[in-house]
Formats: sequence, C-alpha cells, structure tokens
Amino acid sequence: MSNLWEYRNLIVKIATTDLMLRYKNSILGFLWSLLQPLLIFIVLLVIFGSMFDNASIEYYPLYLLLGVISWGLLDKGTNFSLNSIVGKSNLIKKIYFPREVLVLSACLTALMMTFIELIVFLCLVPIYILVSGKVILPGADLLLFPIVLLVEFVIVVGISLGIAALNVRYRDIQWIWGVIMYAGFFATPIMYSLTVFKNQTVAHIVSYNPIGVLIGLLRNTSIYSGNPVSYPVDFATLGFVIIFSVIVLVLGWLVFIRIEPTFAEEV
Amino acid sequence: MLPDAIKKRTDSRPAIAVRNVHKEFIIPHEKKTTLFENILGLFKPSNYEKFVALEDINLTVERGESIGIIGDNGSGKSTLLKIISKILRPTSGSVEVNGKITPFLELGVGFQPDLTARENIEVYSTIMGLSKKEISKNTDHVLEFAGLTRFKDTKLKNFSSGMQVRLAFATAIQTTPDILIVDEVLAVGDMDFQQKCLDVFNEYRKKGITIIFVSHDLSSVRRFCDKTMLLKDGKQIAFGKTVEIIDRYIYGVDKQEAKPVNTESQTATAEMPVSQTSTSISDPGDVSAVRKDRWGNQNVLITSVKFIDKFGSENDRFNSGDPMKIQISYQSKEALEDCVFGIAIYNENDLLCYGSNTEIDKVPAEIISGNGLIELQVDSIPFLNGKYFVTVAAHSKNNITYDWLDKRFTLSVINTSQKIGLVDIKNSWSYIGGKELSK
Repeated sequence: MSNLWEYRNLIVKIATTDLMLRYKNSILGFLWSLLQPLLIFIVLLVIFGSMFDNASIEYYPLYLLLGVISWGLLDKGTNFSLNSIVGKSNLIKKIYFPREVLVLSACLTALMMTFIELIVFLCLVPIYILVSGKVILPGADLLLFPIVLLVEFVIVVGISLGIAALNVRYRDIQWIWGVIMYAGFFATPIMYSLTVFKNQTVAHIVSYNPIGVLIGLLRNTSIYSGNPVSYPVDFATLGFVIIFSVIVLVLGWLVFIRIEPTFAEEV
Repeated sequence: MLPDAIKKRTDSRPAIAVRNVHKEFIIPHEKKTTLFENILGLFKPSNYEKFVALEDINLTVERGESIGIIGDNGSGKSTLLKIISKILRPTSGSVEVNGKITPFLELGVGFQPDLTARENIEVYSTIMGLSKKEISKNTDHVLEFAGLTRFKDTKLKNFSSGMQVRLAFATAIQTTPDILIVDEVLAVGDMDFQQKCLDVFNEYRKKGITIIFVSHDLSSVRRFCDKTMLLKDGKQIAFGKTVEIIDRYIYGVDKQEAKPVNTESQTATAEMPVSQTSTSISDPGDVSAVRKDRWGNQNVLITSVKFIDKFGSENDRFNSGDPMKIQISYQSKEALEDCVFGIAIYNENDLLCYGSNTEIDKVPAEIISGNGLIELQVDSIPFLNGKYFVTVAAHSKNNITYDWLDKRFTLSVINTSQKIGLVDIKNSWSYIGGKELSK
C-alpha cells in the first residue's frame, strides 16, 4: 500500500492520459463524456418519466439523473478496469511497476468523468427549479455526500481489482460482466423507486442491494438533504455500505494479489 | 533523497544477487477453438507441457560492475532480465536487487501514437518515476537531445520509426538509475545512433552505475562488460571474464554446449556416397550446365573435411583473427604421385575470396595411397565477419578432377573487434618524428 503512494503520479498520469485518449479523433471530443450520460438520461426520462408511479417520486428528473450518474461510476470504473491489464500488455511485459496502478488509474478515469457529470448535474438543478417551480434547499446532510461517493469509489476499486485480475486468466469475465451490469441496472432503483414492487418480498430483496442503498444515500445527501425528516440518512445504512465496501475491497485485493504474479506470462 | 542514494552506492551489499533461480513456463497443448471444445475442456484434465526457461541461475553483480549476458536466441537471456527487473517471478529461487532499476527492456514502451511528442515525454517520464517538476524542467532538453524540438506538438503516429526511437532514448536517459538493464537496445537505429547510445552507457559506467547488458553484438559486449555470463538452453554455461566467455561462446569449448549447428550435416554431406551425386560426370567442362556440387573420377575420394578451432575441436564458428586448421581426409584407390589438394573460399555473394592448392603453395609432392589426412593451417582468419562457403578438391597436376566438393562446407566468422570492412589488414601505427616535428 505504502508502495503505491510512490506511484501516485503515475496513477494520475495514466488516468488523465486515458481520459484524453478516449475522445481523440472524435469531433465533439471531450463533450462526449457529458453528452453520453445526458442522452441516456433523456431517453430514460422520456420513457419512464410518465410510467409506473414514477410521477409520485419527488424531483423525478433529478432523481433519475443522479441515479444514472452514480450507476455510471460503477459501470465505467469496472469496464475500464476489465481492460486495464489485458489492454496494456506491452507495459506489463516490459516495465515493472505495481500492477494495481493500472486498475486504480482506470477507476480514477471513471471518477474524473463522474465529477464532470456531477458539475453538469449541479448546473441542471437551477434549470429544473426554474422550470418546475419547486424549491430545493440543501441541508446539513449534503456534507456526507463526498463520503458516500468515496464509499462507492472503494466498492468500484474492490470489484475492479478482482475482475481485472480474473480477466487476465479467464477472458470469459469480460463477456459475462456486461450481462451482470445489465441485470444490475434493472435490479437497482435507478429509474424507479422501491414502491413500484407489488410483491413485498421482491421489494425487500432489492432493498438490500448495496448499490441501490448507496445510490439512495447519494440522493438523500444531495437532492433530498433539505428534508431530513422524510429522507433520513441513518448511520445503520451508512455503516452497512461502509462495511460492504471494505469487504469488497479486501476480497478484490485478495483475488488480485493471487493472480498478479503471473500477469506478465498470461496477459 | 541524495544522502540515501549515496548511502546505497557505498553499501557493501551486491547490486544484484540472483540465487538458484528456476523458471518454468506452462505451455497448454490443446487448442480449443469452438465453444463445444471449450465446454468439453472444462471436464478434461488440462494437457500442458512445462518448458524450463531457466535452470539454476546464480549471478552476483557488485556495485559498479558491467555484466554482459550472451547466448543464442531462446537461451533465456530476456527471461533472466525480466526476472531481475521483477516483471516475471521465478518459479523457485530468489532475486535480491539493491537499488533503483531503470529497465530499458525496450525503448518506447508506453508510447501512445495519438499523443504528441511532448505529451509522450511526460507519460514516459512518469513511468520512469520522475516528478512533475522534473518533467517540466527536462522536457525541452529531451526534445533538443532527440533533435525533435521542431516537432514537439506533432502526434507520435506521424513520426518515423527512427524519430520515435530517438525520442524514446532521449527520454529514457534523463534519470540516473542505480542499476541499468539494457536488452538489445542497440539493435535499432543507425550507426550514429548506436554510437550515441554507447557513449551514454560509457558515461553511466564512469559514474559507477551497475549495468546489465544483453546483446548479440559481441563487439559491444567486449567493449563494455567486465564480466559476461553465457546462457545456453536456460542453463548457465559460464560466468567470468568477458574475453574468455566470448571465446567460449563462439567455439563452445565443452562438447555438450554450443556445438556447431550444422556439423552433422556437413560430415553427412561429405560422406555421402559419390555415386548418388555424380558418378556419371567425369568431365569438369560439363558441370556449369548441370548444377552439381560434387564431381570427379573418384580416383581420390575426399571422405571428410573438418574445421578445427584453436582449442583443437571441430567447429564452424570462428572468431575473426583466430587460427584455424582445415583437415581433409582422403582415400586413394591407387598410389598417386601427382595429386593436388586445393581449397577455395567464397562469401555469401558468391564472390571468390581466396583460393590456393598444394601445387601453388609449392608443397613437396608425396605419393599418396589408401587413407590419409592432409591439414591446412590458417594462422589468422583474415575475414572480419560473415558466412563463407568452402570448396575442397583433389585433382591431378594436369587438371583431371579426382573429387571436387563445390561450396559444400560453410563456416561463420564473427567479428568481436571494432574494426569494420571485409578483411582485417595486419598493421601497426607509429608516429615518425612526433613532438619535434609538431614544434
């Protein structure tokens, strides 16, 4: 771990370089990192905005957009990481540095994109207030928002370490991971809330989805932070996601260090 | 930072200590192409072969030493370097490295074609562990050294490969590591660039930096390395003074090691019955039309031709300037007085480089009969480098061919000196007059 600190410059450099490279040779360039989630958001808003009892969700467009952005962190982080080792075989085979660097910088790239999206989100809030005429006030819980985001980042790093390493040995991971993320998108209250479930057992199961809990916390500490009575941020929930994130990180790390010695041979 | 570095240099521990290192690679055998085969494969015990890349390697490199590693392709040189630089882990054994390694395993690793020269320098420097401040301070200097200042904002993909290598090299030599690992860097680039590389390495050596140098260019190894390790099929054959090891590599002193690859085929072809190749041809005038490489009336048969190196063993690789013997075994059907033995040496472009025979060299004639051996002693091989084809023939004084083996034998000459050209000219320089004249 202390070793990794020496490589912080490299982590940041690879992350920023990848971010720059991602949109090279496209006309809109960097704008795509904003446009893509926005377009997905608009599609979802048009389709699901008037469906179910979503209309009853307070500030639904913001609810949806924040869901899309926070899911995006997990989605992008893990997908970039999947390719971070196998896609950089020339580095792995020729230069020594702790291999975690590559996964961490992939996750960092995703985090940087999430920050940019959150800035756009922040700009859209006043527009929403103007258009809808509703008043949204920030509350004290807003201070917890960065912590919750950090917890999500820890989860992303944990999962990423595990799947990036497994993908070196079993390339099947990259195919199944897409399916898992697709299922996860629907199993997580991103475009709906738990109240849509008629079946109480299903609702109960989905309510334990840690990512769902996490996204809920992100919403409660931001758009609903002005109303802590209806949208409380209790420490039991916070503790649940923190413990979950630590477990994921440890598991991912264990998988990683187990496979890491053979990276240069198998990549 | 600095006191630490100084402490490291004066430290008594060796820079690198490799102990009993083994490395095995697992090569899977089955080739699964379809999904069905893949599913079946899950239930079958997997079928693989173990390939031993390195076997019991021991190497201690003291601080400030320059060590060369030589050996044929596939002998495990690069694997050893990768293990030392922690890219690969040994299957067993241990590696201790005291100091910061900059692995030059390959130039330009991590270069992105879509980034500009300046951006690439930044990325590459960060990989080498430079801080942001150092990078921004050095970038202009690096571009200048590479001679690419004009192209600093050009994307790398628009660079020629020579420009890319120059950029990579200039970037790579910014840092002063404790241990420098060089794997065939000099194989790329023109003479000018190679010289530049060598100069920089010399500079490093003077600074007391430990260098491990892998190259096929034996003359650079000779120039650079105090000690050299010879690897063969993953085994450490020898480790010692560079001069001795290079000799050993070229001649393969021990029988089981570095045996000439085509000895077998040479003796085999030489012993091939003449009847198969050219019994019917006895008139040498015919020969140019039909491409035969053996003809003659077989009154004298050349049964084998051997090249003997300075250690007295048969070989087909020779160090330029070394002595060599050519032993020609013959079999004569009847007692002959007028038999002349001759050789001719051609280079790869089919240019006749040298030819002579016992008549030209005024060897007193002898009556030969039965089995015999004639030996030609070459005091010093004059060729500098390359592959040569040797013709050996026996004929009578009035040019009746007994047995003519045309370019049937090959030998390689390896240049381990700094001289260039086709042949070595024995020479000596001396100043005449000197100081008085210049006054």
